[in-house]
Formats: sequence, structure tokens, C-alpha cells
Amino acid sequence: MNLDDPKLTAYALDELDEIERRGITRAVSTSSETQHEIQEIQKMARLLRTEFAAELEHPADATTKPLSTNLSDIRDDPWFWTRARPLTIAAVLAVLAVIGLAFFGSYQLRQHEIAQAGRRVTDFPSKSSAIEAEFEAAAATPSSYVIVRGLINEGVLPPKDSVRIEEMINYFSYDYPEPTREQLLSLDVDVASCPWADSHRLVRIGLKGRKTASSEEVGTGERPSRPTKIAEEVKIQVEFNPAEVGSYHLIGYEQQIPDKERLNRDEIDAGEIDAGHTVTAFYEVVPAGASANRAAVVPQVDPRKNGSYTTHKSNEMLTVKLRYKKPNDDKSELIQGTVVDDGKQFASASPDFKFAAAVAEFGMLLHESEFKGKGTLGAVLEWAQEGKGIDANGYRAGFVDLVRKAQALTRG
Amino acid sequence: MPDGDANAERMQMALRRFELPLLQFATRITGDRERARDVVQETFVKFQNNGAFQNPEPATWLFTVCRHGALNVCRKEGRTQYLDQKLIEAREAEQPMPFERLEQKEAAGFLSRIVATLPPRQQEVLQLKFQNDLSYQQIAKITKTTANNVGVLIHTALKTLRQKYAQTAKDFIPFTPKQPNDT
Repeated sequence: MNLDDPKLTAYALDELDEIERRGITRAVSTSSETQHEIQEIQKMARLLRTEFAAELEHPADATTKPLSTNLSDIRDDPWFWTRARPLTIAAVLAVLAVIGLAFFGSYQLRQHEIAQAGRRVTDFPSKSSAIEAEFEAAAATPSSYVIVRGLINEGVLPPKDSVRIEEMINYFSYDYPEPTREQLLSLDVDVASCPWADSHRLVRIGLKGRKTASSEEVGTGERPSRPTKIAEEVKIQVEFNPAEVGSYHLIGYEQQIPDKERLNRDEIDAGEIDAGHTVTAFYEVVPAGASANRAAVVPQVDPRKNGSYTTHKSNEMLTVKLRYKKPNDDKSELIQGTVVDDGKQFASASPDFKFAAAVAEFGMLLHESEFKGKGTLGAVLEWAQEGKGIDANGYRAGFVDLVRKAQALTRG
Repeated sequence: MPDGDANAERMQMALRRFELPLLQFATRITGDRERARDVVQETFVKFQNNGAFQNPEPATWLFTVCRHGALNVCRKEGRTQYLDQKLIEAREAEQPMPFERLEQKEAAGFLSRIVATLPPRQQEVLQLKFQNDLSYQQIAKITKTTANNVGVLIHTALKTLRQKYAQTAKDFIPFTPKQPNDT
């Protein structure tokens, strides 16, 4: 479709009615160019929200005067040093991150270079050669679920490239513990058997941002107010213990990151979390010594490179380090936890765990991922129903319906 | 009186929620913070007097009345840049780009400055959309135009912003500021 169409901008800003949206959804799903354009529009929208929000926080300093007067003495203004530089940096960081939160209230996890399957751990340019995977939690546009839903509702199975599993998982929010009083974020890790691959384990990493008084005051009957960013430069490191883990695979992230975004990625570790929001990621793990029933599960964990695991006897499965900064604060906070796999079966996992796993497998099936294992749409339906939980807003019920429709489409 | 209490509370909520956004909005139109303060105060007086605070969606009402008040100030003082559509269009065509003169590209708030170079009508809808999360429909009501036209304005503004921003972000070099109190 024509990229210079105000309708496309309206679509990106969620301003279209149902009928118009459907029409464009179809065009969007088949054109990566259009998808990219939408992301670019949403990035700029995110930047504008940040910038306009800053104006409200510091109204006296707002740049509402003519430009010529603004430029004169800015370097003598103490506000410039205390606020403006971090804000600029935040703004530049936000170029990498994306948004959609105001509309979809969800997140995407972005990963460094391990996104490409097939990479061995020993190839990592990581310091001290630790066996670690890093990924970033970045505010993003989970448009994939919306596109997938739109197409299935129209009776079309989505093209595999329109399915981004990590975006689908993070379209939904999950009930993770609230952060403690000292922290802005909480970290929650859970492990159970992997329902689509015998002998594999599924590790779920969840983050939640603390709710703030502003995030609760917004209900004025208007459209949802913009989310409040509470943490930035959020980074999660996962280090696997070679005594316990043979190989692992981060679910999703199978699409190429556009070169343009890749360029700055290593320079700026950007990721933002808004108040009350959750971020979810899954690792599929093959225990050490277990027969990987798929050579595809990579990278392998190299026992010669122990990282912080100095003894092979430790029963810890992995260590997670969560680092973040408060907006405009130079100091980085660290939350760290080690995880021992207690051998839990998927059947006794929490509803949230089951539901998120169902969404992940649904995505992998639609994406025809090599990691989809033995899962079926029928199994996805079962897990999603078991994991429906309270579902106050009906989103999960909507997902269950969607899986049924997809089932009907594959049969037909 | 319970009713009175409830009304007072609604008033307070509206003040807390909208005072600053309205002030920002009126400042952009009048170009003068003190005038803008007067306009916002008048807006809230009207809001209270005619019972508009009972409206479950007060944003559209408040911004409409505030805009009207701000334009009146401009009219009285002979500042007509927002009023004359032909003038606005003429300006849009010959819009100078002071932004290109920006040498301190690492300076903060450069996006605000790019915004400040846009035609007034575009700035106005951007502010309503991205500072106040109003819908195209609401913005159309407030600015007395059609939702379609709002869409075109926002689309055009975002396109210009992306171009100029990309230009600048490319040149962005992180720097270490000298503290004002350094000896």
C-alpha cells in the first residue's frame, strides 16, 4: 500500500474503526515494508509522548517560546544539565525502542545477537567468556498479535513471517509479584517441563514494573493515559550452569533485526519498562546429559567455560541478573537470583505459566518454527483453557476463541 | 451537602488532571505564559459555573473552551497567526527551517525544537494527541475541523519530524557535560 497515506498513520496510532482497520491489517500482514513504516511511525509517537510528558513535568522550562530565544542560553541553565541531557539520551534510546504501549499495553523482549538460532555459545564475544545470554526488555509494538488475530478473524491463516512469537506472548499481561519496597522491578522465574518436547525444561522469566500513583489516577473516562516510564536501560543476563544445562533456546526472536536497528544495539543497551507492566520470556532448556531430541536446540552450553559457576556440582540451573536504571539516574540497580529446577511438571505449573506457554506454542505453530516440537493446536487450546485464570478483561477468552478459529481454518 | 462535596471533588480532580496540560496548550497558542494562566483560570470558572464538570469526558469541553479563550486573547492583541486560515497556509508553504541552524545537535529537547518549527496547526494537533492522548475525533471537535483533516495534519507532521529527527540523531554524539560548579 501507499506508505505516504494518512490512513497508515491513523492505523499505527490506533485511530481507525474496525472496518478500516481490517482492510489495512490485510495489507500490512503481507508487506514488511508497511510493517516497518508502522514501527517507524510508532517510534516517533513514543518520542513525542516522552518529550511532551517532560514539558508537563517542567512546565516553567518548556520550550514554548520562539526557537531563536530558546537557543541562546541553554548551556547556562542548570535544568539543562540535570534534566535535559538524560532526557535527550532517553529520547535517542527510544529510537531503538518502540512503542504501542499506550494502545496495547505490552512489551517485547529484544535480544542481542543470540537471536539467530544456530549460534554456539563459544562464539559469544562476551566478557570472560561466561556462558551468558543477554537480552533486553524493550518497549515495543506488539502488533503481531493484533495482525494475527485480525487475519484469523477474517478467515485467513497469517503468513508465517507476520508471526512474532515474543510479541504475541507479551500482548498479554501476567500476574507477577509486585516489586519490593526497595525495587522498581520484580523478577520472577519459574521452571516446569516443556509440554512440546519430552525431557526438555521450560524456563519462564517474568518482570513486573511497580505501579505508580500516576498509573492509577488515570481513569477519567478518557482514552488510557500514556504509561509512566519507571525504569530504563533494563537488561537481563541469563547465565546457565553447564553442570545442569546442555543447551538452550530463547523462544521467539527468529526474525532478522533490521540493520538500521542493529547498528546501535551494541552501543546503547536500551529498554524501558512502564509502571505496572509485565515482560515475559521463555527459554527452552535441554538438561545436561539428556538426549536432545532435536539438534536444533542451540546454543550448547560448553562445560569448559564455567563463568561464575565454579563448580560443576552446584545444583543451580541458572543465574539471572536484572539491571536497570531509574529514569535520569546514573546508578544502575541490580536484582539477582539463582534458579534451582525442582523438577515441576507442566501439569502442575501456574495458570499464567500454562497460558503464556500456550501463546508461545501457538506462535511457533503459525510461524512453522523448527522449535515447535510435538505441540498441536488442540494441545494449545487445552493449555490456554487451563491457564485462563481470572481473565478480568476477557483477553484470554479471546485467545481461546482465536485458537479454535485457527483449528477450523487448518481443517478446512 | 453530599452533592456539593461530590461536585467539589470532581472540580478538584479536573484541576489536578487538566490544569497543566491546558496551561501548556494555551501557552503554545498565546506565546505568553501569563496570558495563558488567565485563559486557563477563566476556563475553569466557566467549567464550574455551567456544570460542565459533570460531563464524564471533560477533556474535549475544557480544551475547546480553553482554545477559544486563547484565540480571543490573540485576536484582541492582534496576534492572528492561528486565526487566518489563508495566512496559515501561506506560512506553511514558506516555513523557514530554523532547525537547520541548530549546531548543538546533542542538546536536549531537540525534538521539542523541531516541533516548534512546524506550522501552528500541526503543533496544536500534536500537542493534543501526544501530550493529552486525545482521539482524532476529540481533536477535530476541539479545533473545529474534521477527523480526516486531523489525520492529515498528524501524518504530515510526523513525516517531517521523522525526516528532521533522523538527520539529527545520525549526528548525535554523547558528551560529558561540564558541571556549572566545576572549579
